[in-house]
Amino acid sequence: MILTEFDYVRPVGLDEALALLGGTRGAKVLAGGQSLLPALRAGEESARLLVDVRHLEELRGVGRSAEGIRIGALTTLAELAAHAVVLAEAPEVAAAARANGDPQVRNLGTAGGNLAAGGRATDLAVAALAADARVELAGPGGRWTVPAEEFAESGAPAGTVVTALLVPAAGRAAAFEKTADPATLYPVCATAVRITPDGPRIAVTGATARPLRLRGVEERLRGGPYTTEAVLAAFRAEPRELFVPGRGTSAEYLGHLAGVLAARALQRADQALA
Amino acid sequence: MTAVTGEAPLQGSGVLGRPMDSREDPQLLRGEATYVGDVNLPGTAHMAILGSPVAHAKILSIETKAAEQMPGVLKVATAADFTDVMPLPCIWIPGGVESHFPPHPYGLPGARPVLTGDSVRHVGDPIAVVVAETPRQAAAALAAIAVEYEPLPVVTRADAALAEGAPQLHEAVPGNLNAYWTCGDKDRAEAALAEAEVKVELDLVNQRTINSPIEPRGAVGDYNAATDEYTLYASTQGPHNHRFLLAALVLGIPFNKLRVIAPTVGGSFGTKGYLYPDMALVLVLSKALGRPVKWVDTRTGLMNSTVQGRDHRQHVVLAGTRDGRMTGLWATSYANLGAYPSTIGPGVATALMGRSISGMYEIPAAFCEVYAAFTNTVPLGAQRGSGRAEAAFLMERLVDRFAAEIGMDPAAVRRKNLVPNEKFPYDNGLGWTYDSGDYQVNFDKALELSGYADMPARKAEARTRGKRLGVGIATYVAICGVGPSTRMSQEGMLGGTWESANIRVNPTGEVTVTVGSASTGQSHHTVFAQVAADELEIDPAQVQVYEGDTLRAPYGQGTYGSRSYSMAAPAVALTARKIKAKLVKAGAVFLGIPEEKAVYAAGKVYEEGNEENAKTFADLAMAMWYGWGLPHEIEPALDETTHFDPPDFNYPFGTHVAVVEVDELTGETEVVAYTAVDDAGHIGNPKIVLGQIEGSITHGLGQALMEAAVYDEQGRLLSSDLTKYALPRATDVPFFTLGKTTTPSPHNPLGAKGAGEIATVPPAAAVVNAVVDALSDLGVQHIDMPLTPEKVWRRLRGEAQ
Repeated sequence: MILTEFDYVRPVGLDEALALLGGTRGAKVLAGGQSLLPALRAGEESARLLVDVRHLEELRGVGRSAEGIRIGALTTLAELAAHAVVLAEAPEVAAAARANGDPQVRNLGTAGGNLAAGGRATDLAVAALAADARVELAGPGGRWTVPAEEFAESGAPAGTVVTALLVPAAGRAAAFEKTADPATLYPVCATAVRITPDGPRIAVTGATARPLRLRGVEERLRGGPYTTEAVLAAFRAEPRELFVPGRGTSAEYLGHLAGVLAARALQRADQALA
Repeated sequence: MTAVTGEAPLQGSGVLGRPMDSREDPQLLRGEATYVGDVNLPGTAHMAILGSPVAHAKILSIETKAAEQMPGVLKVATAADFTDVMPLPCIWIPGGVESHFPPHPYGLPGARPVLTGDSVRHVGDPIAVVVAETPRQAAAALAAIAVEYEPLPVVTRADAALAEGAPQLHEAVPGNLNAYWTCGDKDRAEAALAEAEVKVELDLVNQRTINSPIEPRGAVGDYNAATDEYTLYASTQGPHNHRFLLAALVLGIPFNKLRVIAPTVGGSFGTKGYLYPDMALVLVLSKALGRPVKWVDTRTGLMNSTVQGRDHRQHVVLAGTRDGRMTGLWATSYANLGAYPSTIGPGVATALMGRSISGMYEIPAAFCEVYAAFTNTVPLGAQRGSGRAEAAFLMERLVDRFAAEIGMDPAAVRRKNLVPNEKFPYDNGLGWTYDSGDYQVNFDKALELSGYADMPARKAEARTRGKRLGVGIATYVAICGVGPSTRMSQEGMLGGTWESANIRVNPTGEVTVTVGSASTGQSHHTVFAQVAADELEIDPAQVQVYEGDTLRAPYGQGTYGSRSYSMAAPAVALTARKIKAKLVKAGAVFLGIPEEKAVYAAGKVYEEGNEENAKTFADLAMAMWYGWGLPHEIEPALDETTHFDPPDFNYPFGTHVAVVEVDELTGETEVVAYTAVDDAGHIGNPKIVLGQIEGSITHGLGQALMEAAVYDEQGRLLSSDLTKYALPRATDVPFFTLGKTTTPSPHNPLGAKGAGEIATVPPAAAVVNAVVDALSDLGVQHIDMPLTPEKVWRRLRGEAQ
């Protein structure tokens, strides 16, 4: 398809970007462009104005913060996947970044863009859910944070920009597993887990309509053990309609696959903990 | 080996056979090459094509007025505007049998009109075109064309299309049957099956796949009113062929008024030798508008218009003895030709498949029957390895079934039945006479390289990791070197299939080679320079290669079926010999010695026994340019041409071994090792062939694991872009273990056999054999491709296919 026509602007700062987004109908944020541009080309999205935030320094950088790790929204997936602090303190987040697309996509695609793209097709959100991370947003009313779980459900409100992902540090007791669609490399199913003193946190996407924490499974597995049989049984106890058929894959298979991937992730996280 | 062409085998300087770097790759990798999409002539207008959104319907009306009013629109045209343009012809028909085609005014088999006016027969069937100032304007105006359809029932499977009461596609094709075609000995095969100690049968689906070259097709038409000449720039693998067919059989214009230029072509896999409506449309519209008209396809457009591959549904039977001797082979195949016959599709689906089914095995009684039928899908054509891959798939699946049935090692069964060396040339009883081969050596080498003997230990080790390891062997013979023109005419080819080369020695001593073939990415410029340099014993850097422009190149048929190195390269070598002979004759004159005393070596002519008395290649080139002092019987200049038509085809072959690991919990299949030992005779440039082998294997693995053109019941292609049609990536395949054997073909002076596509032939069979092996203890006998994780998982759970 031929890309539709739109206007393009590069604001000098976040305030200008927010003003443009708030004041223009059909304005959209352009960061890495790895989700938005294909969607525009395919006619799945439309935009009248692209507000390019790629050069805004205030959205860059990864560092420690009071809550754990602060990941600037413009951090590329490649940077995130290789970042020493993230690898050490939030390994499921690094692995999820690494699981996105191919090297070209990871070199351009950003953490904020991946979260904002939402839906079944993103890897980072599932890691953010398992990590109990928060998403920082900027809008006309200033900056605020929302839990990643809430963000995964509602997305970024119109006129806002994702500015950072705030991830609690976990040490190594976290893992991510994914089966990629061979055409898109989007997750057929991806799971992220984090083992905390209160029990495991388990999130799934691909097999479900959007990234979800599976609290029922978590409850059933509290205290372990994380044997494959136990995890599969915990998944089988979930309501059938939780899992949604994908292209060429049944809900039945996806529910099973989610269990297998969660079991593998839990076993790896558990080993790392021990 | 004595060449039956009567030509001496090649004995050149040794440049040929060296792994020289491709000359073309740097431009391709840097994005500097010029594709059709880069051809921007002054004043170009842009064409967009309205393809049908429905698979089968009568067209009741087409309303174009609104589109004509859209910004930038220059012309909106429908079938009514092209009444003097003939339908595209079909030029490879099922040979030797009754066949039915849509009409063509010359009484030839017809394929399709350039735009359809009465009915649409597949999604994407071209109905109308818009020409506008920009591509965007042309595309936007398409949406304003209103077409009223009367829906007709849809059929997408060949077997269903032949059933009583099936929707009918073409008035001239009763029951949708293009042809019932057979080869081999039916009575003997029936008897062999009836008398067999053991008989195994399989129902196979060789699924439809979509050719996915990086560059979709494109065409630029440029009519010159002052000279009444047309120029077509197109992504074509056969510019001369397209020139002939378009001028003589479609446009009805003099041959010498059409020039066809193939710029760089970004891959083809067999799709770009076909006639497509757009090629004629841009030419006619350029004349109508007095401007160049350009069209470049999109990926989704390609998937709904460019010929697709494979698509056979088969019932196959192998008969044999308890001790592993194969005695009979039977294949019944329903071939899906799509909505219209493509330019050579019917031949691909019949002869290329049917005559190849017995592969490397000596089977005394073999028979193949093909029902080739029209359906409401995109026309079928070649795909890399076409016909031969489908043949190898059925044969190699049967061998594994047979081996399992009699409890014998599948390698041992194969080895026992290989055509022995003393039987060459070997008549396979299905229509092919294999030229040469040493199958045992090739087979054993592949088994050894793959570590076949260690597989039981590897299987046990894999089980400790939750993996089921499986090993699959597939051998093949892939007819190439199309070919002997007269023989091809008996095979239903309505045209010549020879090839050509011209060599001009420049006055300054450099050499220009021009071939009739046209590369779609096979590094012709590199290899043909090596061929000429080797024969002339000069530096290949002195040799420049041209092709792809009908104004400059000698007549030739293009590249397809891995033919250029065994068809065009021999023409280059034979032409170089003519040049050399003339240099010796003229050199003797310039050296003042009798001709029999003149020796050609290392690019020089010298006096035998007196090497001081010599003329260099450059000296002679200049002397021949001046022509001073030449006797009457020696013409000045060095400019020779050869048209090469071989005595028969060539038959490369090989053995592949796939090792897979199937995840017991998820059903995911990983190809963990892959060994290929291919025999393409003498190879001109091993580095280039290595790339082709690796690409071919990857291509074949794609069909096994992920590729599938999926049509819904309404005939809509669901897998219509690369987010829905999976292609294998580098990360989906292991590092290959590659070996080769070398059995020269006697059918050309280079001893060459086809190479470019041959390794696409066995991988699908090898991988399916490996996965079935991994699941054999569960009673699994076959799994249809592609082997998606869920499909395998269900079999792991004991579900039936």
